[in-house]
Amino acid sequence: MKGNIKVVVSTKKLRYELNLRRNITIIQGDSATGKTTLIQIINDYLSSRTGPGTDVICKKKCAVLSGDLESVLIRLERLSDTIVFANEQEHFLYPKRFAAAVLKSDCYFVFITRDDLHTLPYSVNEIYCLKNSGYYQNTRQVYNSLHQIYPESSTKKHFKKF
Amino acid sequence: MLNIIISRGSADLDNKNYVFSPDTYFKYNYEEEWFNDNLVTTMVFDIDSSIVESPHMINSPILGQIAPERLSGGVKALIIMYKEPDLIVNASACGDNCAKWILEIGKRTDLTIRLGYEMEFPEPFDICIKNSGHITHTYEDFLKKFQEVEIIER
Repeated sequence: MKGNIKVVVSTKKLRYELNLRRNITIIQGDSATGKTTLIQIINDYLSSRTGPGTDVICKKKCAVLSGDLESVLIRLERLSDTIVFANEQEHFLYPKRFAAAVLKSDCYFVFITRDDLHTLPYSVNEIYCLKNSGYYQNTRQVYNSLHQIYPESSTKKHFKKF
Repeated sequence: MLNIIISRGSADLDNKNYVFSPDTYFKYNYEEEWFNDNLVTTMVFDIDSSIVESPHMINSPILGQIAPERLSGGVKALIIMYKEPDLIVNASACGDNCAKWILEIGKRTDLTIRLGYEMEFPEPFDICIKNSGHITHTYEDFLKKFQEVEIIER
């Protein structure tokens, strides 16, 4: 998979818009910004539990990984051309075997974690936090979007110094 | 005092009191009376902007009326740290906005947490880095000590 991929997740009360630019995107930031809720909505939607009013719109397939490392590795082997989400507090995120499977995959990954994933190569510009920017276009939906934690303008300036 | 075990990489803490996922621990172990405590209701209001109406019902400005299980992972981790200080909670479940509350809980009780990222603690503070036994008082010193910890990958 290559290029920008847009993912829109919406319920009656919430709307998330994510623009994914690289194969690995990290979401971190303050508590209570809706990171876990985002994953829960996608997971419930994919499991056909949500009913009308909830949507996950993306031109690619989406998947949420959870469970033990062995099951996750088997599932990952079968996924292709998919946006794969994983929440923090999953043990499988950290071992080298998971990193190796991610590197072999043609999927895009969105990891919610504050701890560094030392075994995975990801860009500092692809580390984001979720920000709530009020209500979406005169609806009751609270609008959340990704904001770079280390904006490109500031990282470029920093590298110029050297 | 607040004690921090810095853990970098994939190696987990080998301690029977370690809570890797505060979210899951909270789901199965929280007690209703915890929500009668002023510090708990204040933390819920500060972090989640939510009002504790009763131990069964919390009013969230975004989600509406919710059960305690739907509080943010950060505030759940804080409540466990405060109410069960013998446990070693994975503080990576908490964002920077929880740092002042972790310090506050550390002032009230002897608390040990596990941390895997450079949480921005507001100065002044007294934090014991358990890895080395060093006591740090500034964020700059805390960052240095964080970087000194070996990254262990498995």
